[in-house]
Amino acid sequence: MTFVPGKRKYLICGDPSGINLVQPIIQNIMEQHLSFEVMEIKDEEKVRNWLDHQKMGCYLYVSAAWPEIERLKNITEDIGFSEEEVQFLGRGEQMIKVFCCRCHGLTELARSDASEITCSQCGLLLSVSDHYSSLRKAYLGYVAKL
Amino acid sequence: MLTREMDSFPYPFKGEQYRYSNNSVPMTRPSSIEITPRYTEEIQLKRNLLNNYPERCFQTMPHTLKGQWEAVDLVTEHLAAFFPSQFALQKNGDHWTFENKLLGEAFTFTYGDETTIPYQPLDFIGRHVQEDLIFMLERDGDLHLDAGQLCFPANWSLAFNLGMRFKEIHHPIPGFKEEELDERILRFLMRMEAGSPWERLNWSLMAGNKLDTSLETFHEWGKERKNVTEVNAGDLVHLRVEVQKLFRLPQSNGILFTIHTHLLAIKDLAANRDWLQQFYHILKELPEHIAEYKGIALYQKPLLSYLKGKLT
Repeated sequence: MTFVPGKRKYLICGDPSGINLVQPIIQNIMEQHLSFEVMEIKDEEKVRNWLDHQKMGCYLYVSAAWPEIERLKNITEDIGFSEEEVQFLGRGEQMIKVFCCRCHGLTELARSDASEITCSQCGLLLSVSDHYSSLRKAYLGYVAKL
Repeated sequence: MLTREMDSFPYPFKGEQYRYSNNSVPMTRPSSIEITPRYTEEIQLKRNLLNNYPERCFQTMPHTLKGQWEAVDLVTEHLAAFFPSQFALQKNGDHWTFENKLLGEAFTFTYGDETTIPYQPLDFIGRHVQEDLIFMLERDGDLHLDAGQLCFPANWSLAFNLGMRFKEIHHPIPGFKEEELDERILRFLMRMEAGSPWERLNWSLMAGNKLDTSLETFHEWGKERKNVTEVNAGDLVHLRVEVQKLFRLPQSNGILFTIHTHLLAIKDLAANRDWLQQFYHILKELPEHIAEYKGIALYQKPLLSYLKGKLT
């Protein structure tokens, strides 16, 4: 994560370990006497409500375990934060989904295992690409062997 | 191939080498649609695919209905204006009658009311034209692929690409981003204005003569690439050319792409001495990353041998 200067207000959101990891940035903000708020993720509705009531010009840091990050991404997108207004820091193993080119089935796997996989729906051997669909929230899997 | 088809084939090559570029030109005959002698056969194929594989061939985002109707307006107007002996359109306020004389079909519907047509608007009109229809909507300062009827894709998946931004769609093309072509073409498209349509040609090679080369069926048709030899290349390999036409739709501010796909067996291409010579040089010089992306790499050598044999 990097400190982005010149924002009206900084929002920090995460689980306890995640917030710890953002400490250097919080330090930076405090030294410059900038406005900020910290919110621990316990209750998703509370977080949504908190983000929803922020005014323009806020910059958001989200730091948590990966499954939490995925949920928070959906919330920030819903509310209308753009990619330029948020930084995410995920911890632990990230799970990704692969979209089967043949049957459109989705197969979930750990990102670190992702090279070739078998489609969980039709059994086709897939080569996992870096082509990502935000709508499907998945990477495209191509035919691995003709 | 029929002589008249050969004469009207959109031969795509210029010069002695090929590189990716924005080769769009203003349209001289601003029709979004062309009708070829293969009309009836291809419409039948399209309708079969749409009925049997709806998820592969038709995808839309819910906010596109207005834009889809605009596409119906543009396409039916063009059919009636450019092909008056084959199509007719009568407008009485929102009460429209569209007649397809080639197929002996007529539809009376209320413009803007989906309940009066048998399919979603883009799907409805797409079943009367050989073209694939892609609708891109401008939102969040970018162009998104928000609706499409796609029966004859060149190895891509509409279901996967739905909703994507222009640059995301073209992410898999090697060298496209590095040369900043994605950015330049996007800026070009965003500047496009209603009433000033553009067109471009795109080409690739196919082992086989199928029009429906979807990513979803690549595991079947892709295998033909391994069967190309110097002896059969003339019959098996086809030059596949897409005539892509681009129209800005003024109401929705979307862009309609119509894509008409043509196939020409290499032996027919080789019958034209100028084409043979030019195609041979371009294929021989083609950079590896382009040959790979266009699906040529596996049989480039036997194809070059075939062409060389024809030249001597």
